[in-house]
Amino acid sequence: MSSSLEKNMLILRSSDGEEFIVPEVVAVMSKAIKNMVEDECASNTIPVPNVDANILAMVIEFCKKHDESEAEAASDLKTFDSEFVNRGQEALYDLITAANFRDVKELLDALCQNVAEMIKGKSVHHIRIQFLGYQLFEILTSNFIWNIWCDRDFD
Amino acid sequence: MSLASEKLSKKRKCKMEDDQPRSGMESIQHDIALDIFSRLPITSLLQFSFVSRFWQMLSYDPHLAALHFSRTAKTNPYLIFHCDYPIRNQLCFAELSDQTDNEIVRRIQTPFHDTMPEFKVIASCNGLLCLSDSLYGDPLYIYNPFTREYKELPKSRQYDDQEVVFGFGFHPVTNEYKVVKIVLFWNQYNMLPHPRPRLRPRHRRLRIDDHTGSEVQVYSLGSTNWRSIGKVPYLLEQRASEAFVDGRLHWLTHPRLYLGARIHRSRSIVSFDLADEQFREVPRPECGSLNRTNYHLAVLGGCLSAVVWYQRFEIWVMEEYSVKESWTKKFNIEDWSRQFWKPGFQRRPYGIWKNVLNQRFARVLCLFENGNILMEYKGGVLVSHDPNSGTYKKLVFQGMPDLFQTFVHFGSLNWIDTPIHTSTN
Repeated sequence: MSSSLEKNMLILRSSDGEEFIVPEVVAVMSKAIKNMVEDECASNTIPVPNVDANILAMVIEFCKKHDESEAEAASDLKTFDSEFVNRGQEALYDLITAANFRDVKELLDALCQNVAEMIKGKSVHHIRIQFLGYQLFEILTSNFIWNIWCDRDFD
Repeated sequence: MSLASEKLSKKRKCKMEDDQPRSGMESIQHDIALDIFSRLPITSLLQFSFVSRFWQMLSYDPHLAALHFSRTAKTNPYLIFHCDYPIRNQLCFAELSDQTDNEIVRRIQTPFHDTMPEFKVIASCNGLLCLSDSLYGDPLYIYNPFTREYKELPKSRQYDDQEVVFGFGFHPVTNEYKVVKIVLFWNQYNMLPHPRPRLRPRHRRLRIDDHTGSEVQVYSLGSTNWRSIGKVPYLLEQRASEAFVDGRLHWLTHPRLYLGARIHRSRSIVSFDLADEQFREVPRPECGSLNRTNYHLAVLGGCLSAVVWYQRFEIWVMEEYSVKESWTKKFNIEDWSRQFWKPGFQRRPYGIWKNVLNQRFARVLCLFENGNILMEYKGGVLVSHDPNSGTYKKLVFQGMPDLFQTFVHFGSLNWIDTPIHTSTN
């Protein structure tokens, strides 16, 4: 398979063994992969541990879009970004971890902005339930007591 | 600093010993969490320190404060209103945004109210406000209105008969916040006989160039007392420094009064460098409107600017600091004072405007992200002016006080004990 590969293509292998063939220009949007390529320590297949196939596919989709549309209007890219990152929370956290680990700056930026938008203007109670998955009991016990203790500590 | 890091390491220890599994938001890495939180407005950020111990810990992280500040510097600032009516000496704030029009003015607590019931706002710098007693100029407080942390500054030397000019700023190289207090004092027994005795006694007070001495006192945040650095070589106008650019405070010199008749001598711009603590004169354009007397200083887009009023407003901007040739006339704004004036306010400014708007009808506050200019008309009318289309929009917020003075403020998590250093960004 690798013999038939064009010169400027790279194979990325996700943690669960699936392989993706991507152009080098797209792959090097990740700083981590770029460093590997520049140091020539990358063989044809680059393992991407900690990132499963599902998430890796999303990251590649994002990088491809950004690579293609470099010349396009910035506003188009912005709408794409906001739609892209508009996902369920679990996928979002996995994406953030992947983007951070692979050092894809644009993706990380868009994701962080999205989470910040989600938090903005919400009440404390809402945040606890939505983002931390706390149940009512936990809020009443651990955090309530902690808050009182905290206030005393910092005063 | 060591105390803060100790506090932080204690917090980290708490985190390590915490046996609860982290879920959702808390499972992501520390630096990513900081990145996300640094994108929140300061009001959300403070509210969420109550969500859990993890979030609370984050809000005390000095990296978050620095990162958050570097982001807020690029967005629209908050407006802080020092109210005069209906409730005197109250602070409130409004958040500016482009999308919505119905912003709410929210109140800020003044925890120092018991010791300083009447105060004036000197300046806002990196999220810290400097406030002083409006009558005696002492005590002085440094206050972060969002974290509600405050600090009373030590007492400085007072004179019997004094006029005080303040300045507050931060120097990015020395990483110090400094308060500058310039005192002009009169010794009535040494005063020479007045050249024109038929002037009524109350006029004598106004003659500022009669003062018998001056003293410049400097306090750097974190030290224990004020330092005196000698006399001031210029006669400054009795207003707190309006423009803080490039680690330097700026004042205008006083227009000279000669025997009651005002001779229109041009006023010069004097800077005070917070690093070497020297006064210098800032070059003005060779010719042009700055030879008039009726102007004030502002900071637009990070550049020192002068707003000249002569039938209309002309805004001059010094694009490259201390380069005489870089002064350019950027904006020309028609004077719509009559439209925005508050009725009954034309003649005599009182209360908190006494020293702020004694000659002017309006002042320019700041430049918005979208290029609009924010102006404040006498008495507290805010107008947003679009220089491209030449349109004006009066800004009205829900719960806005009737009479107020506005300050531009960049909200930050600046803890006074461990103030943020902008140069580390």
